[in-house]
Amino acid sequence: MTGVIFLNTLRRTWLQMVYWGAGLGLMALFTAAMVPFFDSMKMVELIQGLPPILLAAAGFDADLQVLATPEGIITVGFFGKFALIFAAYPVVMGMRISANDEDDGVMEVILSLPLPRWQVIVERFLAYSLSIVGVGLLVYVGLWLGVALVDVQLDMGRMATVVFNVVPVLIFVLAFTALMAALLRRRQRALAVTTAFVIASFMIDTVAGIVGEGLSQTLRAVSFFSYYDAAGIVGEGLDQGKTLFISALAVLLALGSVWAFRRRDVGL
Amino acid sequence: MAVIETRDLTKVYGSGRHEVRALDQLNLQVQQGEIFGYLGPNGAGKTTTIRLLLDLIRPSAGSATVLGMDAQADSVALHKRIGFLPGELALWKGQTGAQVLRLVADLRGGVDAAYRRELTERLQLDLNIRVRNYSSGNRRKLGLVLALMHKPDLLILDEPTGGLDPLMQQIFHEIMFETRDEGRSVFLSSHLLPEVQAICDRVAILRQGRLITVEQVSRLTQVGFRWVRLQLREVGSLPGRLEALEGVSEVSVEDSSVRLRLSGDFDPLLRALQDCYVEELHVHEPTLEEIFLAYYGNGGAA
Repeated sequence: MTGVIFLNTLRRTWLQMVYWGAGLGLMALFTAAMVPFFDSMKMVELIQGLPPILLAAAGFDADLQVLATPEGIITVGFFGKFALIFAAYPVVMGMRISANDEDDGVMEVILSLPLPRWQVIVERFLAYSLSIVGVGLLVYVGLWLGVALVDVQLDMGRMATVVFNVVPVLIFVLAFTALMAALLRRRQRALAVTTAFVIASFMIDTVAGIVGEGLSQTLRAVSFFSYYDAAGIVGEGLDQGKTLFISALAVLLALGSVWAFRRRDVGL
Repeated sequence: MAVIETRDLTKVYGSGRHEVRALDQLNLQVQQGEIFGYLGPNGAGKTTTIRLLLDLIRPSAGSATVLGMDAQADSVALHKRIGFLPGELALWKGQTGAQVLRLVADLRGGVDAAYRRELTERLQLDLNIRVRNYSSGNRRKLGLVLALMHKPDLLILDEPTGGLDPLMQQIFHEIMFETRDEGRSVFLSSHLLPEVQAICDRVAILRQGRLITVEQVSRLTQVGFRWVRLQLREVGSLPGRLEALEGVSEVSVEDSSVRLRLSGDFDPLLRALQDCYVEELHVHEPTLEEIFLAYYGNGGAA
């Protein structure tokens, strides 16, 4: 029956979603609550004195004057590494789309029910995507609470963009994990390849950030981390082209996982 | 009407040196309203057949129709009418039996709650326990309720009574007979020969992916051979004469008792005994296990 897998997946995921959201939300809250204790200009001076390699490794390569704003402080303090920390979540959830149940033998029971295979993958994918939005929402609530606690003036609309712009990137990671699980069958194999992909993406993004202009910037586009630019959003606003591109890629990979899962043997 | 029909159904895993022919050109028909036993040792291809019928895996060659529909193309429609119990039942460990039943009922739709309750009571299954805390027998009972609760036209059961105590096995047999009496069909894979003997109408024997034979269970126990035990006053030279008889083999002597295996008619044996004083004569039909071994022992002919 349509929607049952979706609702069941949400029911079985909400607690993890709350844990992840609470953890990341608390980090956002503390970062926001610390804003009044920063001397922005001193921090800019301090950071300007840092070698570019350290700046890039910290995930901050935009206009340093942005740091003078509360949004900039929060971006450096929290959102610079937000995508990296948060990336573990869609990997864990992506394994649950098919790999975990297939390895445990539960998929045999599920697919003996009157459900098309695509429906299992699509409903689970949608449920986990929604849970990513849920974690994002809790992060935003944490940020909002932190701001309310210390009475800092913050452009909350812009901060919402910063928070939720990570969603398409993480849904892309979710789709990639689902595709690997559908192609490689075994949980351990899929997890190994996906983890290697995340680490490689991070390395490419970091190294390209250090090297600067030229070929490295083209190479950087290969890394999904480059599609989440918190500092860029604070400084220049949302790059809609990048967001649309990574969203389209996520949809393509998700469709790929459905295609791969439909055509192969299950539960061997 | 055949509820299951396979035509040269073949499944090959791997390729080249690693190729394994799990099922080789299986041609099988299971009729409506029968309990069909599917026998074979581990690795014979029983589970592979079931997975092919359920479209969990795809055939390398051949085809299968179930309830008149193509097992692959019409799998979703078919699954509405099939109840399946896998050999190694895995379920969501953190959920209670009740939650698992509710989820599967929701996914199926149209499950009769009263019948589900009746099955649970008959099998004495406590639904408030988490799956991870169920004993293997209780997990099996839960699997049986899942397979039976929507009153499917065809039940496909892989080793259904593993872990069930004798009382529950009896209840399971009753449920199977009721299913058959309602005109529904059961495809039961097992290596427990007494179980097949007790409830199946026909049985197929599978070996290394190949179908050895399909027989009525009653005929299978008759057509092969019999064990004969003679209690004689004096054995004398009888064993030597018996071994020379057509259809007599495996003659063994213990004191004044002679045991032999007899294929074919009794007449040659009775004539050979006319000079002997026979105190007792016992005839035993072979068990299915012995028939099973006989099939395997000489490559397919009993």
